[in-house]
Amino acid sequence: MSDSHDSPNFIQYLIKLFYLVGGVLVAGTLITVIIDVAFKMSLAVSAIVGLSIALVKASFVVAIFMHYKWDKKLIMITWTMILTFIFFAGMMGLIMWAEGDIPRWGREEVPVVWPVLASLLGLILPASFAALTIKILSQSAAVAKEAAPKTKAKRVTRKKKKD
Amino acid sequence: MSGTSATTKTAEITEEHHDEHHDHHEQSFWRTYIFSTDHKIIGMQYGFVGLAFLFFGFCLIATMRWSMAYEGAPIPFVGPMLESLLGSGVAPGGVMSAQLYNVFGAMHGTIMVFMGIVPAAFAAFGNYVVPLQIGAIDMAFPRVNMASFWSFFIGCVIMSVSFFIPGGAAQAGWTSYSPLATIIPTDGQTYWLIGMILLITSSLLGAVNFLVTIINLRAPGMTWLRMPFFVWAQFITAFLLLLAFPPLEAAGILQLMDRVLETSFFLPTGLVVNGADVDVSGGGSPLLWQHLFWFLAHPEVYVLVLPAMGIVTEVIANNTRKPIWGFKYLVGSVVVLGFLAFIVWAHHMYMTGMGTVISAFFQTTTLLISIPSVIILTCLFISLWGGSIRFNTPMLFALAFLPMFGIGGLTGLPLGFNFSDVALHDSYYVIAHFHYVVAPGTIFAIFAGVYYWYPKMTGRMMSELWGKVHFWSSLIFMNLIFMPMFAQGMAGMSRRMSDGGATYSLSNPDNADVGGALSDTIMGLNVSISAAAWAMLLAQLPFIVNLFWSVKYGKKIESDNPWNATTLEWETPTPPPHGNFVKEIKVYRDPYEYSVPGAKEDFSPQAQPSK
Amino acid sequence: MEIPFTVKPRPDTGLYNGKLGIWLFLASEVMLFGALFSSYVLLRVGAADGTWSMGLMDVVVGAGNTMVLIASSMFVVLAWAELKQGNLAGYKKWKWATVACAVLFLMVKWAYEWPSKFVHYDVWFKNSAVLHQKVEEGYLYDGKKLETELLEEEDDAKLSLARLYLEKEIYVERFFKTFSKEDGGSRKAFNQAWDTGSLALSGHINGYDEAQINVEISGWKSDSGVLEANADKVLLKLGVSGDQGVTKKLRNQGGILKEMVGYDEAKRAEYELTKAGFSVNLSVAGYESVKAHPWFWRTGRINEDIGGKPRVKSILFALDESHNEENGDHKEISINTDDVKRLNSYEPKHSTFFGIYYTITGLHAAHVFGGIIVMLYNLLPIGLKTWHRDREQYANRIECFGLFWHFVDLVWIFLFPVLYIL
Ligand code: HEM
Ligand SMILES: [Cu+2]
Repeated sequence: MSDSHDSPNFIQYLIKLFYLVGGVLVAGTLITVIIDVAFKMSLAVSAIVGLSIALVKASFVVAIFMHYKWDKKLIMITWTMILTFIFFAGMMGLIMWAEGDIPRWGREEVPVVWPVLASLLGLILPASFAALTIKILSQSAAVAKEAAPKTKAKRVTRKKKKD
Repeated sequence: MSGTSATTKTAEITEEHHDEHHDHHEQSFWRTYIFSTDHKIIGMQYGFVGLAFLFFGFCLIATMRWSMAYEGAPIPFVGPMLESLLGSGVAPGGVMSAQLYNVFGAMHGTIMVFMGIVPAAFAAFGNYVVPLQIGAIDMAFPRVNMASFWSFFIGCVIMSVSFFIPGGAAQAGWTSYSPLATIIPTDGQTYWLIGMILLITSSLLGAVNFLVTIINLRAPGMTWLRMPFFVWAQFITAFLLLLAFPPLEAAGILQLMDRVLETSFFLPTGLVVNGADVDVSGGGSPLLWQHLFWFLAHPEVYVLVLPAMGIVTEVIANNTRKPIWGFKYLVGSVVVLGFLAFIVWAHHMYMTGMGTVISAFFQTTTLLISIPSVIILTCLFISLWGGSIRFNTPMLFALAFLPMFGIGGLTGLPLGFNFSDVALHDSYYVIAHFHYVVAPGTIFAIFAGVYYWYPKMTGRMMSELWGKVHFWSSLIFMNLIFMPMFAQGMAGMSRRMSDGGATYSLSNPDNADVGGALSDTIMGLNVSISAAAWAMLLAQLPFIVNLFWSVKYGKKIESDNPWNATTLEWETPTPPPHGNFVKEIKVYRDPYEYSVPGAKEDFSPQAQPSK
Repeated sequence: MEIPFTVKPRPDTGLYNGKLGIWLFLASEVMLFGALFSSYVLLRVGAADGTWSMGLMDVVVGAGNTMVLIASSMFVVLAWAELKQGNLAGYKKWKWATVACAVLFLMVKWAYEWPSKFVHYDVWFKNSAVLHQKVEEGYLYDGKKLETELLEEEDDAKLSLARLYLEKEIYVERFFKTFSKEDGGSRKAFNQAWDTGSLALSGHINGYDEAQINVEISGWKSDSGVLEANADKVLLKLGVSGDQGVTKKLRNQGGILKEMVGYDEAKRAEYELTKAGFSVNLSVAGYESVKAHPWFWRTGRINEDIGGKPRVKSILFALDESHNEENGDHKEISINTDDVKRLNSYEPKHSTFFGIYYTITGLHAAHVFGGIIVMLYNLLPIGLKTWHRDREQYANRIECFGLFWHFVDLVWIFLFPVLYIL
């Protein structure tokens, strides 16, 4: 995290957050188990429930434990990576379906809507990477003015985001 | 030292003291040249190993070409060697058995791609040149860099050793499709997988290092758009490696499980081999392997060409003495190219029957991706216009790259359309297509890079005369090898056949009434192609001799910037010392400011202040 | 010569090298585990009903281990916060706690979870009649109880009670979770598996009848390149007693060398004798009951052919979920190996589920193990040197390690529901 967040007060605040997140994670695990034991659900439903809880837990870990919340500069890397991955996994599943490799689902011609969605994702993918590049490109070569106060550097990036 | 707080003070002092000394320490031979953390040494290590494996891979195919041209005849000179080295089981009487052909074929592909071009084009030039070009003193993580090289090296050793184990190396092609790759009883494939996992680890470590170096270690004033195109190409390449390689690593682990612990991730239920049920649980999916493999392997082809494009751009800019035309389009294209590379992989799988809708999707993305490639090539062609071109050896190679890569790219379009791919898939047409991209394409770019940066590495030029001999002979033989393969492929000759298609040819009496069997003319091309391949092997001798001879006897260069180039690597002493730059580096200009109106000389280095 | 931005972040990118590097590394790790997860999903939806042996996992152990990892993840970030406040002792405390959690996690895996599976078996039968008979035998020991439990809700009295029990209580949960809401789909799949006999019975092998083998030699090849004296030596070593005349006679005329010995001994004798130039015959003289819990058995092992007879004639199989009323044990049935199509403990080869279970958890455990090594390094004096030289650098290093560790935790957060619950 950037230096402005190094003050003792902030660390104290963080520590409290950490305990909180720990609690959330434990609670999430318990809820998962309890739901599993208490309710009989079809696989699809329990998958959605279970994975949603996992996703919530994961978001907390990433945002707080990994201080992603304060490291916004990483967003384009993670964003493009997540998109790449979703595209990869989704498309792979789609193709295997179309190829009849998932017998349970039969082998039909895949509805056109899926490739269309995929195309959208496929467009967002290069577009967001291009956006990343543009963002990178428009960064000032701040190294030269290394001595500049850090708060100022922050303000500059904020402003950029607005316009 | 106990590390408790009581001793902190003293420890602090001694530590600092100690450290300062350490930096100026004379380092032993081993630390300087073998287990070095200096990016230049590591670059040269990569280069050396990479070139050696390129040559070795080429020798493999040269041997295989004998089998294709004269099936069943003992191989002169090499045959007896093979027999004594690998045993008479695989090379009886100096004749190449079909099994050995498969071994060599699979290893030719693997070696060329993962142990030849990636280290030579990406890792070697990347390591040597990128930090210099961005004005950094080293890579961001020198020790990770060393780990990356040694992981690569051990992977290479494992791959090489696998030739000599009983049954020989991997035989299932560089694509290693399951179930074939899983059920082959010899251990070669297992070695292949372990080797690949190490090579992949190496590439991942390297990619992280490149990215951090380029993002964080640029010299003051080196803004993104002032980065030379080569750095851009390496940047995108590193991204490709970072995100595309892990799925293959996963696939490798799964296939390794299949082979070693007898799981059946890639083995379907009810698999019958040689008429007998295989004792596995089944339930796996052969297609899964293909997905995981091609999700890497398509980006991989861009890993093979992007650094080449970067090198060629550097050389062309320098030798036309004018800025690259449309530099920003180049950068934009390479970015888009990088990311489109992730969404086209299934064009290698049209024949698996994925239906028209999905085929149409991948056909579209495949054709989309040709657009940025064309833009790049066009920009480079236009850059030639009106330049006062210096035809030295690196420039000749760079110039040849353009049409050769063009042929490779354009012949790819019919493979991208699924209807024409149905006919061309797995034929020699495919072989010709991608070899035009990598052999006269990337390999020529590597040659260009070697001739171009050689003076920086050694302080001496390579011989121009022998360079030109090397160039012209390579160019001619390259085309004599690969151009006829298009014809063979369109005539229907399949790849990976140890008899060069004799079984399917018309001259085979069995095929008297088979329509579409290969004609004698087509079969005859096998001989001419093989002859050209052996001539090509000879044509590399001038280069090899030149490379070593010039270290000692080449023409000494007079300045640190013999090509009058603008980029930062020429601001260093020759050869660059540990730490690279002796003066403070600041960047004031765009990368290719040649022939700036009003300037004293026809080049304005990036580090030269603009008033 | 110092590489810039190893400690302080670069102003325009806002990151120091290490953090940027570790995030990029994690991006590749996401692709690695992501590819494995997607493989899991595709293999799973592609699996035929009744082959995904999912319900065999112990949810409680899994949940416990999840908590352990969560705790470690929290400790590691607390350790970092202590460092940021300059408190080395506090840091060490939390860090050791992290190490302890990590070790505990691995112990549960290595010492309990994995090994307990290697002694658990599934048996598939060659034909459905045997399957049906064994089910009746194994589960219909207490007809009264079953009747009251099951018949209330089930009116189709034609179905056998044992089968009903198997279906309702055990198998549908284990193998036949389907994607549809009503369990009609799973019912259909179970019926089909029942009819074709492709169901597997699960349980422990409590004992088996193992072959007692006679080792016989039928002559010695004088051209084998082995000296007579040496061949005799081998005979003596294998327990032939007597003078030269005895060995010579054996060598020339052959004869039984060992009677009714165990498999290992017979095989060893065969190996040595063959090497010494003898022709060896192994034959089964009888079977002996052994009480033991074998590990890692597979079909090939029980069926191994010894002079035309199998190595194991029958196994004593204690069926899962089939408690004996009197002594609380699992009900034992005896299974002839002739009837067995496939036998496999819960190892990777068992099924695609176990294959991917061991692959992913193994890879994850490897990450945990690597993490432990790095933590120990950082805690030892050699790692702490950095702290005494440059506190910020050390704190950064711990932060980077923390990022890696959280990622390992993150993977487990998804692994837990995917492998244990869904
Ligand atoms: C000029 C030197 C080269 C020659 C003469 C050559 C020739 C060939 C030939 C004839 C085949 C087909 C073998 C068969 O199908 O049985 C082949 C396959 C292949 N080559 Fe090359 N090649 C050369 C350089 C390269 C380079 C530089 C690469 C780098 C990427 C490469 C990569 C491959 C691959 C991946 C295959 C497919 C292997 C397989 O079927 O699994 N080759 N090569
Ligand atoms: Cu492709």
